[in-house]
Amino acid sequence: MEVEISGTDTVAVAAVSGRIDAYTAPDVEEQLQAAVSDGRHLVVDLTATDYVSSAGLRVLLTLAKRSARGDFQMRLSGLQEAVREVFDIAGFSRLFEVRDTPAEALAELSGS
Amino acid sequence: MRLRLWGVRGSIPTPSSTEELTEKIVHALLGANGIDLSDEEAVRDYVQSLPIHQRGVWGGNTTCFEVTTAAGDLLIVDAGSGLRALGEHLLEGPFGRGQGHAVILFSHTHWDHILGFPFFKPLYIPGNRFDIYARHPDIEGRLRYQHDFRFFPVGMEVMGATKSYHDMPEQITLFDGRLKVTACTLDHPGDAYSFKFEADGHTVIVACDAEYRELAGDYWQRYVEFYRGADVLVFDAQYTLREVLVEKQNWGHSSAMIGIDLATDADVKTLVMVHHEPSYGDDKIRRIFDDALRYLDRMPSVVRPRVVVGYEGLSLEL
Ligand SMILES: [Zn+2]
Ligand SMILES: [Zn+2]
Repeated sequence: MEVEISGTDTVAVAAVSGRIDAYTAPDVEEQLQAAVSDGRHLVVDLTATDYVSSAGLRVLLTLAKRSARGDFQMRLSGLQEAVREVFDIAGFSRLFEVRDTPAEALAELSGS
Repeated sequence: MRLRLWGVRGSIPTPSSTEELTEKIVHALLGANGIDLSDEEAVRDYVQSLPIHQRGVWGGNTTCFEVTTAAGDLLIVDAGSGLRALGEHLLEGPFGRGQGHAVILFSHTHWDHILGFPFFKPLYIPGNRFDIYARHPDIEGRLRYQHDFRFFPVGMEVMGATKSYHDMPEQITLFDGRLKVTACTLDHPGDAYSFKFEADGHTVIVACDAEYRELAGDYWQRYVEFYRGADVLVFDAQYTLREVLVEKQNWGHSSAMIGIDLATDADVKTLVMVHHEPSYGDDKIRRIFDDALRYLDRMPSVVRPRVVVGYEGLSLEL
């Protein structure tokens, strides 16, 4: 698992590759929290994430709850079919704003 | 060792409704295309071929599990309403003659785990012996409380069997060393305890009721280590993952998806889902577990647990 942060002055794009499971979730959470600590919005790019377990869903949910409190705006993007299905199974799809590509999500948040 | 489930419902006994039974009959008849409905044997074969929740029920009785060793030692986990039917069954053997002995072990004393106790007939037959264990203090006082005259017509002194109460240590061997029991604290309002049973070279773990507040780190690893390598893990899967993490946080229960993750990390062979939500019909319970199986399919792990929906009467021989 790796998290690569890029983006602009106002939006952080966090590209997560590999698995987000019980063993990688704490690290992913720490890096995503750090990415928004300077007040930027957040795009989580899951294009290279091939698996998300319940622990991974929990990390994303924790950030979404912060986002819902108005701390920052958040978009998920690039979900692979298998990852999208896990979101659907868990009933999580409607809890997140999901975009097809990170570019689309970045453009949207850059305008806000 | 054998594990038999007598009560798999969470929170409150849940009889099926007429509406639900009507739907089952309608569906069964619609699916009977080609079956000669005047041929009783053919009809019986067809009905038997239907899944348990379509020809019957997962079960509405609350938590009660029977663990027996190859030598015939009997241990009962929890006294939910499922205990009543277990009592009727036991009357056919030594318990009916006042010659039975069993250990009763309590995970905790919420109503759904004790309300079958006053209806357990073997307790009323002199000669039967029961060793009653709990990690919680004063199990005798807690049981006596529900026999208070304001709540139940007869007091516990009417129960003629011999009852001995014991504080359950973290680990104990019972039945002259034939069964080892280890306890692990579970996250649940007022605490509950998981029990690991080791006998005859096999391991069965019952983990009711439990919420898992962290799904990673040391918190997670503690459970992974306790559950590691179990042949069977009986798991509180009352809610969906979304309910556990969003709508019903801190309610003290878990989900099938978390069970699958724990069982996979801990190399559990068979995961049995229990403590089904009372407000969910049998079809919805089936759908939740079908979803859980799809989740299991998506896992990258090579070794995956077998996942089973617990139902009344399910018996696992090890
Ligand atoms: Zn319960
Ligand atoms: Zn409880």
